[in-house]
Amino acid sequence: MKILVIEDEAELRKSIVDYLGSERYLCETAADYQSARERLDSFDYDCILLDLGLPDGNGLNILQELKENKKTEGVIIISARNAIDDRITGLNLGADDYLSKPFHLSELGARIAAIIRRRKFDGNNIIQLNELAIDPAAKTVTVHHKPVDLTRKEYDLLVYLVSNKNRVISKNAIAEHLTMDDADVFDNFDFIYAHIKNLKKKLSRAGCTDYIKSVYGMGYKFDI
Amino acid sequence: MKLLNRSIQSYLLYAIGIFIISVPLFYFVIRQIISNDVDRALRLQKTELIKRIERISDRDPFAILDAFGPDIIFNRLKEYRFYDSLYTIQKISPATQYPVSYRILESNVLIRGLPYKIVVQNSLVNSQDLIKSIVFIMALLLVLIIAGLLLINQRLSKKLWYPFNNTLTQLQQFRVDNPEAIRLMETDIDEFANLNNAIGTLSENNRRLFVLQKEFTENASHEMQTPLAVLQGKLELLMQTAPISEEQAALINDLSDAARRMSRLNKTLLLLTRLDNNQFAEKEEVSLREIVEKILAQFSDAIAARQLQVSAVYTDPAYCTMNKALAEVLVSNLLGNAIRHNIPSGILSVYLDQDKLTIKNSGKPTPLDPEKIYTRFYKSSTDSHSIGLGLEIVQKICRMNGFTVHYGFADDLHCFSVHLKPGISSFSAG
Repeated sequence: MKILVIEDEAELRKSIVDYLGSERYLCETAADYQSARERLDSFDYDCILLDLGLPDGNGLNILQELKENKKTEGVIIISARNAIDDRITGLNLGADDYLSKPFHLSELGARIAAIIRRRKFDGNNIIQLNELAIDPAAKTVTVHHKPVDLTRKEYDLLVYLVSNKNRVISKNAIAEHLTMDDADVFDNFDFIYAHIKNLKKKLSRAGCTDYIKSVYGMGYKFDI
Repeated sequence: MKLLNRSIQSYLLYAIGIFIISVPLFYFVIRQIISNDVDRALRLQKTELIKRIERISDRDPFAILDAFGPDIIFNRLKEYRFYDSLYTIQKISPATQYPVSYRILESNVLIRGLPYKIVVQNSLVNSQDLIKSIVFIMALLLVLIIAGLLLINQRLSKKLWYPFNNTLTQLQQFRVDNPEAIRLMETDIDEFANLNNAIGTLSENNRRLFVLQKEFTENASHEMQTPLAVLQGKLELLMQTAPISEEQAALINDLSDAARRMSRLNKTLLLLTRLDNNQFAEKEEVSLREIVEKILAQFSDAIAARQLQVSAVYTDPAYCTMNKALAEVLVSNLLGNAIRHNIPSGILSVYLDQDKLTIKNSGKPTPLDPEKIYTRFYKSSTDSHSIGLGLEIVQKICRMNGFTVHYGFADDLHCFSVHLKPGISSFSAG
């Protein structure tokens, strides 16, 4: 899986590459508009992370060109400009997703995983992890080919953990993912613990190995 | 008091003073003039009479003199003593039977060596009428002048002050966040032109400063997003490192919380600046009921965590023409507050009809200060999750859409109500 990271901020670019690199992704980078265009002219990517505010040009122009070449599949816009206009323009130009800075790397990981699933397998692939199987199209989970009945939140949580497997996901990232940015309503993230507990209980009852590990109260990790 | 009235008042006082002094003064002066005139006429008459009587010589002059009528009387005196007197008396006029003033000249004269007393009188009726007429006309003129002055002053003032009033209206409507500069009318009056110049410069400077400040906030918030993203990313990478001790994990956790709060704050500030910049122009028909239900569902975890008793009553879909994202922010901020500041097993009640959305919640047993709740960074609690910008956003969104928001406290419940049609509602804007 080849990913192009178009981002002018070196440290952020490095963080993204480091994080995604630990998965099976092959990351290439472009720090500005010009080098991004050169790379896009020469290579094909499964997913493109596109920062809109580039020093020598607007990222939306890159998107425009990709659209003209019918290569817009798999573009995630990452922008500091949270303006709704940009979001709408970007999505209208064919971007698959939009993430506003600052974002959690695990959230980015989940979005990339979702896009690649959609793109490579038309969403019909089954995520198979030993005895555990997740069908993203039907939103169902089976363990040893037996369905496990999960609530929507538990399912979302499982997919999120699996998309970032073998990496620690912070509680903040999980909270924001599950509450769609409304995590502020909570004093504490006990509700995450409750969801995790229920999820683990349901999976182990179905005979699944306990893959979900708590990491010192810092976060959780799907360890496989 | 209006400036106009104050200047008129001074004019009026002066005019009335002049009027009070001038009318009697005029009366006395004219009377004096006429009286002098009459006196001179009487003396002339006397002199003429004596000359004529001396010319008549042989005949008894006094037989003829009787023919002069009652206005001239000659009396023979025993001896001559100089006497000459002028005076005024009131007598019943034989013609009109009314008391009439007479001016009388009494004088002792020698005619052909014989002493006589001669009395010449002249009725002052005509003169008095004249004085009366003159004073009356004069008074009338004064009244006319004063009335005219008042009228002209009033009309002229209105015209003269028009540019000023125009400027004032513009100033009252001036808002520093107006996209357009203040437009003052042209005037050829120097004072007003100067005033307009000064106001124009002042308002334009203010407006520019405000725009600059707004741009600064927006740019600062935008620029902050990238380092925040770096910080958050590095923290996540740090989490992946191994081995990691429990102590390090706790530190990373705290840092991650702080980074998250900072990014929330920054996003909220950005939202505020974008509200100020009116970047939510596109509007659509939204049902507040759908939005309230959606947000309540989103908050279901938080509601469950606090075991709140929720009662929601909707009597209307409550359609509003507004920006959908802002409608969600509005409802989510109000409901979020009602949940965040609630007590365990507390009450959350939502009531929505076509005119208003009311959200009541239990919480601290003391009412909030309604003066302060909409100010930035005012916090009623030490809750670190509250940023203190939520209600300002609520108020801004309400103002943009012509809603009004009210806070009340009754039966230990905090109550926020948003009036969707404040023009029709019986409530007055607080």
